[in-house]
Amino acid sequence: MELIDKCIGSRIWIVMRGDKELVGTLRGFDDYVNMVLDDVTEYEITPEGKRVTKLDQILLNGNNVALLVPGGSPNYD
Amino acid sequence: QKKAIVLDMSKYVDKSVRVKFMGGREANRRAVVGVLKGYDALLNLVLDEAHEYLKARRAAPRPQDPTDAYRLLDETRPMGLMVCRGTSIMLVCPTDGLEEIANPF
Repeated sequence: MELIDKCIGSRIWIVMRGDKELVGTLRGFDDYVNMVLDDVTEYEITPEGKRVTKLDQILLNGNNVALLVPGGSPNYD
Repeated sequence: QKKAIVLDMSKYVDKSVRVKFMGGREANRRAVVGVLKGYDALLNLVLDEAHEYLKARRAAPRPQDPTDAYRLLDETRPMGLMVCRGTSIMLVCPTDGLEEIANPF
């Protein structure tokens, strides 16, 4: 988790268990890897194309997080 | 209190591993391959040079599972250095020695 700690203040790409992904600026996280993210773009991976919505600041429930990629997404950003 | 380590991850460090995650269906479960760089007791993993297998929508539903709309492809997308959440991991195995066999059914 030190890798995630180093990512505080930078962009991070979160991939959930289902077909949802988010990119945002990591402000902090807790023992359960619930996260506070700023300036978030949410991607819904649907059959053709990804639905995008923008959110200012969120608390992301860590329950369904599968992957965390520091530095954001090379394709999307 | 005794700490139970079921799988000794140290033997996989710096080796390529395949990780499958909870969610989805057996046939299209999220899968990632990468070089294991680190791990902890909760099975959080750090993978480097990681790639995720992509999915495509099925042309026709399978009779075994009509609700399964996607299949895993051989194509991957690069992810780089990532953390895999232990709470979402279903399977970890070495890629060395993996071979695809003909469908026995």
